[in-house]
Amino acid sequence: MTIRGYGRATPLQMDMLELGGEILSPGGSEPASDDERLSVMKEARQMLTKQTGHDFGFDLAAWHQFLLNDARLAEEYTFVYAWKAVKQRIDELLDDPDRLRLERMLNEHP
Amino acid sequence: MGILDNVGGFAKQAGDGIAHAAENTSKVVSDAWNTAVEDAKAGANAVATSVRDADAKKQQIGAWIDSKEQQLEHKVDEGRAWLRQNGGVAGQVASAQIGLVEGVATSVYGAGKGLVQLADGVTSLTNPLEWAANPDANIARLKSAGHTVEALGKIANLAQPTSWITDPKGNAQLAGTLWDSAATSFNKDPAKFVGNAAGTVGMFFIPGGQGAAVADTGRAATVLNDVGKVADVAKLADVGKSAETASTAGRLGGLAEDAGTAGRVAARATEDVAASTIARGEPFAFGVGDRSARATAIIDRSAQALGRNAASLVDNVVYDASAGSPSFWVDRATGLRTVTLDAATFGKTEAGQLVAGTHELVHAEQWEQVLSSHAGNLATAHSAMFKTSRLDYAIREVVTERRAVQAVDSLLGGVAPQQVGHSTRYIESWQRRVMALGGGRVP
Repeated sequence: MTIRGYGRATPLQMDMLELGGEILSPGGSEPASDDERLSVMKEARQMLTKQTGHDFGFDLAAWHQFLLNDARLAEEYTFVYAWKAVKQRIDELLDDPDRLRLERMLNEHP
Repeated sequence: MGILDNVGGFAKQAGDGIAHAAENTSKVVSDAWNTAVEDAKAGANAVATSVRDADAKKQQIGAWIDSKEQQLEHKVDEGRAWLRQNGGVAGQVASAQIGLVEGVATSVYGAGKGLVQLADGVTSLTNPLEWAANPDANIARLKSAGHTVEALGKIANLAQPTSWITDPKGNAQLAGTLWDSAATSFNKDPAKFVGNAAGTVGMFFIPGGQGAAVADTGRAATVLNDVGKVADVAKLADVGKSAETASTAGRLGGLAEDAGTAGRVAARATEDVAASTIARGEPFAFGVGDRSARATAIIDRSAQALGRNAASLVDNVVYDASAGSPSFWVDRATGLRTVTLDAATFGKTEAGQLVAGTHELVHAEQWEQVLSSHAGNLATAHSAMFKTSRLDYAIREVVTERRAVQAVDSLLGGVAPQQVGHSTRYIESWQRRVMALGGGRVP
């Protein structure tokens, strides 16, 4: 369907957005609750761990740097179709106080 | 339908894939070749007469063209009618193919006389049965194709394509690519065709066919540097007058994009490394006017790729400068179907824009099916479409992008290698996800 706002995002791009607390319902734009965001963040971490063989917890910046620098994964993570919009949003989320609040919650009560 | 249908049902035994290959693309031939050629050889004796008979009929129209060049269009029409009446199924196919090159300026048409021969012969060139039954005729056709490009392009000293003869499979693939990149574009846009000829020339330097293309990109790139000269040829021939109304930028974009065709075969085999080296596509302008109007033009053209009318699939086409991407969305309350195109789409190549638009229209088709399966219940259909599981979404993306790129490839007679590479990588990323989620690889 194409994820509204991100277009033809790749799976890794979607995982990272979800790790940042984004709710990526195709075409959707409804505001999400904390519980919903925490849930997708957990699922995203599991999927990223499964796909990469690494685990950086809920540390979005660590995952971001890892994927950018991994020869095998960088291509999919920076895939051109949606990368511009994805990168812009990831950059925003890295310092987003609300996401950092959710990350702290997950680290305190995993 | 093709020549194979004229040979006592043998085509049905050889398989539908071969019958299709006889008409169209080298890609299909490549897929079908290995499994079909042995059967083709076994049946060659039975079909040889029919194939050669078709050849004789085709030669007649070629003779008309040679002898009455100034009355070319008239004779082509006459020839097409004759073939329809006398050529059986094979004649109908040849007639339709010759029709592909009508409607262009006579000056270019004269130079492209050989292209008529190519059009006439492409069915056989991409037909394994014909290779088994009548290889000498196909070799002659390939030489004819080489002369065509040389005469039209006049941009490089072409190597004699004798190396093709040692590799019939490669020959068939190259011939199919010639057809894809030349004849179809010639029909659609003569200016673009000339660009395609430049791209095609690069393939003459590919020793032994597809696999070695990367090794010889330097020579291909050298040839492609002459695209400017090709543009001059197009200008001299005044082909622009017979092309559809299009902006200069659009036509130049088409030229640049088609220059990338030199690496298309290689790119399909080796991702698009060769394509990146050889040439990059340039932005293309659909239609005229502001971006809202051009967004509509993109979607209209994309719908053509699917054989649909855009109005039957979407209610609104919106250009949104702030959007991060194209999207398809249905209003849950009203059922209004909207495709939104973003600014970045307009920076893509013609094929890139069409794949983006077609991808969303494929989703619109899926919505049509989902709504129907829910008996028109908007609420339940909406949930089924837009609240789908991760696995369903992954599968849908594989299917959608694949259908989009195939539809655009068919519409344009081939797409630039970088677009094929992008779509392939996108599809593969979702294939991996399907399997990670417990599904099987989407066939």
